Amino acid sequence: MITYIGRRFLWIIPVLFTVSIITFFLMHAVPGGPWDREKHLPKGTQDRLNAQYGLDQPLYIQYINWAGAFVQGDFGPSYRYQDRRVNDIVADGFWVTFQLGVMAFILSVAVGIPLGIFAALGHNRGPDYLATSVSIIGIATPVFVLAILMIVFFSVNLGWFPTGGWKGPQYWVLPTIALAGFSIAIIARYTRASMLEVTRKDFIRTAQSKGLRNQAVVTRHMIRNALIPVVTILGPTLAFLVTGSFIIERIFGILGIGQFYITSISTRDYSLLMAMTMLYAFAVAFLNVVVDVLYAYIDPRIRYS
Amino acid sequence: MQKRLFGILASIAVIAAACGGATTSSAPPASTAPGASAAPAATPAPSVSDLADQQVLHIDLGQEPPTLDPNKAQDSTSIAVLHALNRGLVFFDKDLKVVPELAKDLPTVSADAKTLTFTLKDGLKYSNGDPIVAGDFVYGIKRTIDPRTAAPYAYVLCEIEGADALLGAANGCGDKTAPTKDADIDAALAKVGVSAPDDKTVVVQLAKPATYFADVMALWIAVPVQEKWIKTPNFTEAANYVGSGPFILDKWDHNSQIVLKPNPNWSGDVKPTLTEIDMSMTTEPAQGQAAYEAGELDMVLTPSEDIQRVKADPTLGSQVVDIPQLAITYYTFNNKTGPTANKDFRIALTQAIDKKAFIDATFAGIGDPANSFVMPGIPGYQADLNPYPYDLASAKQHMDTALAALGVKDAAALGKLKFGFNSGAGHEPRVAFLAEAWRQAFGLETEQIGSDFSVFLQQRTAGEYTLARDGWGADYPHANNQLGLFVCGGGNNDIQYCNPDFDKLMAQAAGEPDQAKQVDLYNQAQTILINDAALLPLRFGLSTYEVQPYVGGINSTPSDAQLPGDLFYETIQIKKH
Amino acid sequence: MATNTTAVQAKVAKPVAAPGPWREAFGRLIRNKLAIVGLILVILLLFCGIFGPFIAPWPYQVQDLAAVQANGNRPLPPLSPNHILGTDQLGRDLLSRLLDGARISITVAFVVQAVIIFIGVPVGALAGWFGGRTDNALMRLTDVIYAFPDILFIILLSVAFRDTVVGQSLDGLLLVFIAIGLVGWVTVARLTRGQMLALKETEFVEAARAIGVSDRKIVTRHLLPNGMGPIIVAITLGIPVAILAEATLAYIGIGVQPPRASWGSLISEGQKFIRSEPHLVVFPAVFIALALIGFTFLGDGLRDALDPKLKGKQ
Repeated sequence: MITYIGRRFLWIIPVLFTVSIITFFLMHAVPGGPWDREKHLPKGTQDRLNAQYGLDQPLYIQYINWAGAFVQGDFGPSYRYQDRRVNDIVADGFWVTFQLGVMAFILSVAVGIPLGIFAALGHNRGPDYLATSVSIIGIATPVFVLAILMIVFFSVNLGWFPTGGWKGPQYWVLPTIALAGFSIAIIARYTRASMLEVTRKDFIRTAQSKGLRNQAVVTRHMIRNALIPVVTILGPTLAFLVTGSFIIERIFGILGIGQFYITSISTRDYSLLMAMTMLYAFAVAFLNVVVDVLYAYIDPRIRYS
Repeated sequence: MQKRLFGILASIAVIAAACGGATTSSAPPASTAPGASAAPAATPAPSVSDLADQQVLHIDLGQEPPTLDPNKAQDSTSIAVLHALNRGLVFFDKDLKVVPELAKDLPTVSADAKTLTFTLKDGLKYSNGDPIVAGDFVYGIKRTIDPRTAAPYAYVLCEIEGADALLGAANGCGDKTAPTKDADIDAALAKVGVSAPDDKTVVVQLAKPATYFADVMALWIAVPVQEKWIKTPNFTEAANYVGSGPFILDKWDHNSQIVLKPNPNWSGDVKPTLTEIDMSMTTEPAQGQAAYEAGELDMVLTPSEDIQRVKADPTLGSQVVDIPQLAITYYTFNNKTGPTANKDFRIALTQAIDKKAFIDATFAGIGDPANSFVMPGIPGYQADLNPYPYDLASAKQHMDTALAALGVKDAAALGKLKFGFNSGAGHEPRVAFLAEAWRQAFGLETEQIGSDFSVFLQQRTAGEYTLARDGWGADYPHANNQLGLFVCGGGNNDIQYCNPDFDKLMAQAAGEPDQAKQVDLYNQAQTILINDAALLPLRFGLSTYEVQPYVGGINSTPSDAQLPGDLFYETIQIKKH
Repeated sequence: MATNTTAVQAKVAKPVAAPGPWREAFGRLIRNKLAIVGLILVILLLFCGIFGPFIAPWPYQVQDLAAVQANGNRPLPPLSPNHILGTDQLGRDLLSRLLDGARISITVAFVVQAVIIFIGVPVGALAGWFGGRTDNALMRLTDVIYAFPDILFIILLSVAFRDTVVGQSLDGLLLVFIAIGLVGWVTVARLTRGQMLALKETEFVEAARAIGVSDRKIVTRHLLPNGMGPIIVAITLGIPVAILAEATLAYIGIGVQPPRASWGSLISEGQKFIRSEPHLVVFPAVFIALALIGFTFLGDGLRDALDPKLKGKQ
């Protein structure tokens, strides 16, 4: 088991390495550069800047330089914010994005799972239709639509919450709900499907025929077993929430690192782009391994070769 | 390549539009321009008893400033803050005349107009208490010219003796090539014509006569800069920032806010009344508007979609300030390749556009149609220059002539012309309007290509588009800054225009010392440009702001970086409310 | 005792062929109410997408500026004469643009899934069939793709190859669709691999081999019906993901070129007017919701219908 875990975690390194190479060369394949301005910078200035940032060197040398600094924890200078290093920029925004993602995750799980259980228990009756409707709305409404509608409704019309920013708890509410909407729906559906499958399992019938009270059957057997497959989607969900919040951050004007996904491409801020990619890739790869290991741990029936 | 001459002020707003994505035209500010509409250029300063207890101004920068290094700044957000933190030997007054700031008087100019001598005031101090010495001005200017700094606005200093050796042809300054070795650079810097014979005298030696160079010295790149400050690690952070202006950088929470407080060592005549300026960084214009309506901001640029609603609102309507901008929205014709190389074709396209309808449909009716290039408020503005007004019949005639010359029987046979623009900046409706107008008038088809900004810029410069979206904001209110774009081979000549008569007039005008004659020469040049229908001017910039009624003492000028009066935060006062 | 034998013999003598697995599945699908709703919505979407240009009251790019100007330069509200769902600020008919958006969404659905099938199924099948090092290598490849920040990758690809032939086709959409497919094939690959692995070793495959049934019959009569089910479901359920991805990208300005109108870009354009003319956001949002719901219900129905564990139950 230990070797299995160790091997899975070690595999993250070559994965990240490959991701970094592909991103780096793709990034430089994009036409244009960090110095493009509507009022063109004089060529002399551009040449000088290129020399200063090492952009005039062959690509593979640039990659090696970048990689060498990166493994030592140095993400490089920002091309757009010339006074700052990418480490600082990321450090500033990271905790905001992280907090938003974690809050959305907790909300997704805290609402999604009970919703799914509720739906499954009231299968094909009232509770099921209600819960299913809620999750349908969650799936059918893109994140940006949900965000826009919530702002207009709760912020502008009702005035309950501010329209944007991140200056205190009341600023957290709308973005978190908007971000979590989709995940709540997915988790709810998954939980419901899993619960329904478990109800049909033979061991439940056995427990019921043994005369256990329904309540005990539910709590002791169904939920625990039903949650096992749900664990498999928690990893991707968390990865999505923590790093995929850029739309929410943009609409609500939250200054986390999510905004840099898009802006670093349009401003050709190479170091920032690489840092964002690596962060995301690491989060996803890491969480995937955690989930796989957790799954193997929880479900003794799974054996990996 | 034409040398660019420099005049008065520089503020860059198109950079902000380019980098941030424009709402209306986020070009720079106000003017006491003749013919400007309804713009109070100054709000009266309240009397002392009217002042509020809390003298705090809340504004929004719209984004994080890319840098606060005075020698390296080029965009309006950085400059908006730098105006408050640093001042030079001279600065502007509310009428945009150059007045002494850290110098005792305006410079004495030698008889040949090639030497300017400044004398510093007594007792000047930086925000940290260090004395401001003449050598700091020299250091700052040389650092700007130094190629190792890669300062984007170094070229404005081209006129200084010896600067061309370091700026070179690559910066549009003469035809030399800049040295690359440190030793050679240092040697060349030593020969640059700016010096400090003693601690209180700055002498600027120019390579050729330029009486307006005092105005260049008012720019943010010519402020005094301590060498030891520059060499401090993280010198632009709030803890380390040393400035010579009316305010100090009290706090810089990156991507969040900047807080300015008055500089106790400020040596200017007007001391700030404000005790604090809070600058937030809201990237979504709609949020800025919401914050203003909630009373969290004292001034805001009204997003275009809200303009009608705000003006109709009983409360907000009275807080609206329309300020003409020294900016123009224009669309380019490719004068070198494609059907637009034909003059009749260009005239036809020009006459098919109802500019008033264009502005109504895509700019919420805000702004005046533009028929020439130099903006109102700049000497050289020609209000009557309109050779090709909206006229569909005449347009059709010109189109027929053009098609005959091109050897095709109708416009559709030309195929889809490439019409480029940068996506995500709100230009789609304008491009769509023009494309549709041409389609209806001639059956002309265009392929509207929206690209990522960098890609768009490259394609446009390379002449890949037949038609493209463009815009220009004045660096300073002088016709040269506008028309100088279109000389043969100019770096910003996006229309691939090359007319030797035009170039000749431009060169003549640049060297003409008499003001009136100079304006006349520029007018002649502009007339050639417009008669050639070389481009499609559409709209002169007008920005709509809302200002809370309790904000007094605003002196807005064409050189405001972002918001009315941000050139002189020291004059702003908050009335009781 | 004797009276029963004839009855029993009669029954044994005439064996009745069981309905094929596909026919059973279809039957289950029809009986599922939500799946029918989904099917109807999907068919409606296909209809709008294919016949949209013919039934649209206006071409999607034509600007009825006269009407807008008559309305004080504001977009027209729904139920205006000639514009049943209203217009945008340039006077372009909203219904017509929504129908154009339906075309785009259909194209998304099919092109993206085609990319996913063409890459994902072979990769997964190879990994599952050969196992061992091939499996390992291919699975590590999927790890890499999976770890990629998809939006970033899609934007990079879109910008990098915008000026190629591919980048210009379909108004810039083909490139985006391929990019979406390129980051999305992993799930189908994993699924196919899982199916291969599971079914390779089943008893009835062994039994069939033992009786001497040919490999081809094994594949067509046993592996495919049982194996393809989850893959079909995954593909159907992948369509909403693709539509959502395209809408999100269009919202931030990537992909569709004006004057074409993806639902996402309609929302982005309409967002500015949301307080005064909310129909510009509401209608595209409703269309998106219906498309997503349609495919999701259909996918659910397919999954329930094709799930072998449900055979004979309920």
